[in-house]
Amino acid sequence: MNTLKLVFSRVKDDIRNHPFIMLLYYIGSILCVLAFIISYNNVQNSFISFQHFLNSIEFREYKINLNEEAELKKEDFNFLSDYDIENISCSTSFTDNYDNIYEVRTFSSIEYIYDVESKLKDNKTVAEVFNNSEYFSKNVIFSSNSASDKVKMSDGSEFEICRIPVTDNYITFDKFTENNLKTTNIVITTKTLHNSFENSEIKNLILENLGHYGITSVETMNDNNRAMEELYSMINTFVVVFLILLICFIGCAAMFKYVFNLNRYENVIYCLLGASKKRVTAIIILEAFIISVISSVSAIIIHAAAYDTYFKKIDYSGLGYAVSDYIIVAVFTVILSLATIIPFFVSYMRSPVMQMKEKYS
Amino acid sequence: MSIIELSDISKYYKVNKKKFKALDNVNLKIEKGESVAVLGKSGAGKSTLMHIIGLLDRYDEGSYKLNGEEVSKLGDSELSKLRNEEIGFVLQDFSLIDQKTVLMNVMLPLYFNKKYPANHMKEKALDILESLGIKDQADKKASQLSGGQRQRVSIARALITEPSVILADEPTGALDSDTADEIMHLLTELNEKKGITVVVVTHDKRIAEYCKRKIYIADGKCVTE
Repeated sequence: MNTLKLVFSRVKDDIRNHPFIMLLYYIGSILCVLAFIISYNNVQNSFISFQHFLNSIEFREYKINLNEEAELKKEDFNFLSDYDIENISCSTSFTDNYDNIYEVRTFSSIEYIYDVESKLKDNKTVAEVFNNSEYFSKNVIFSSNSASDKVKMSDGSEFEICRIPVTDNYITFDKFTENNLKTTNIVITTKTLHNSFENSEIKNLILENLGHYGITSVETMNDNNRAMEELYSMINTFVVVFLILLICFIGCAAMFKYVFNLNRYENVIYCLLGASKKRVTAIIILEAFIISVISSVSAIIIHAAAYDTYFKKIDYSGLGYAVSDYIIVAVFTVILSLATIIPFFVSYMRSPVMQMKEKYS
Repeated sequence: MSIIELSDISKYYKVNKKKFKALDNVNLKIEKGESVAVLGKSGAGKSTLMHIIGLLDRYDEGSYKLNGEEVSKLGDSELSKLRNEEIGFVLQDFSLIDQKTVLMNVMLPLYFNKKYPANHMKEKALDILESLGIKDQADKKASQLSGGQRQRVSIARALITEPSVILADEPTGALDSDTADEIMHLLTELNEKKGITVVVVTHDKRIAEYCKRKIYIADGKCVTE
């Protein structure tokens, strides 16, 4: 209790005795924490983008173009059995039945079905699910989830989902062969992103095994420069944001260290007067905790209060801030403040009191 | 029983990788209620001796008993407790915290002492300041006081935990001779009226005259008594 009382009296004395320095410190550290909060989301976004990039379907797809329509068989793709194939799909042509086009909303908030084309062939129907929010205006709700095979429309008609693709008009290979369809475009999707060696191996296998169908090209984003460009762009963003963060940390740490040094001599006098090193350590840690909590909480309150009016405009991640994000920022700021006083502790624990007194007087 | 008992105390320092003996087999007994002056030239080992007696530094050889308790086996927390309860320091540079008030400076040792409840700290500090004639300065910052007043504050702070021993290292070193006499009168009074053991480290023979017993230190050795 006495320790806590003493710590509060120190913080109060700091403000009373060094008002200008403390004002500068609080303004500076609040700005640093604000910069940290803003950068935090952008760094997080960089990580998410990077993870998304690694899992992005575009970079796992091998698009095969044939020079003329071919009726492929399932066995044609046995050569890929050693690879982690997620899906094989083929493009089909639209029929003339454009009158029967629906938009279908699933219960999932993300995926929407549109362009429902009936009677593709032999009364079989095909539906596609899109990730595009523009297409849910007609609000035809069906009772199944997006992974269902059957889609029942509000007018009672039933459709069969062949695939949930990103691009239009592609159907699963099973549906393709079931209907004895012909195609000029095949897409093979792997479960994971492959390195350049495996990538060229897959491409060579495709050329070797499907070459007799008259392949004009095998395209994949994996060996496209755009992939690297995207990666570099993400790394660049990350590096810039990281540098801003680093400058914030250094600024915060330097300011905190300056404030801490104001009381260095006092800490040694405590020892002379009978405070154990443990007690002085507790006092210093508590003081650092209080000072850094004041600045980080102030910054968080300012950020949360002005987020919609100002900070939202510079939140390029669009992720928004949860309470947990603010807690992480506050905890990090406190840890950083404590880290700046480690050198003092090392010297303090090793040296006799009078030696420290001479050093800091 | 001696309040301070040093037996064959030696202390070494390393200067430029060479071992330097700051104290060489010092034997010293100080009885409760004595007033002792430790005299010697600069670098003789007076301050090292005071730091060891004051539990501010460790010794390398020998044995030291404070109030009959061997201190070499005690850890930092126990030494600090002993320092807080048994020893009051009065130093040449006053060692006050300039930005704090006189009252806060005097109360400080009580923050590290579990015996004194928080609500009695102020009352006790004011009583001591009154007994030393500086109660009216209580709300001033230490930096606003004269040298003599600052040393009185330092003495008040040393007395607040009612220690058995006051260790004064060149207590008059930064004062003019009239103020120095005042401070020495005050220390003598504390010794005579309250029975507090006073050890004064000085190089000034005139100041040493205030003490009943004199110890001379030269080259880290206790030369004569």
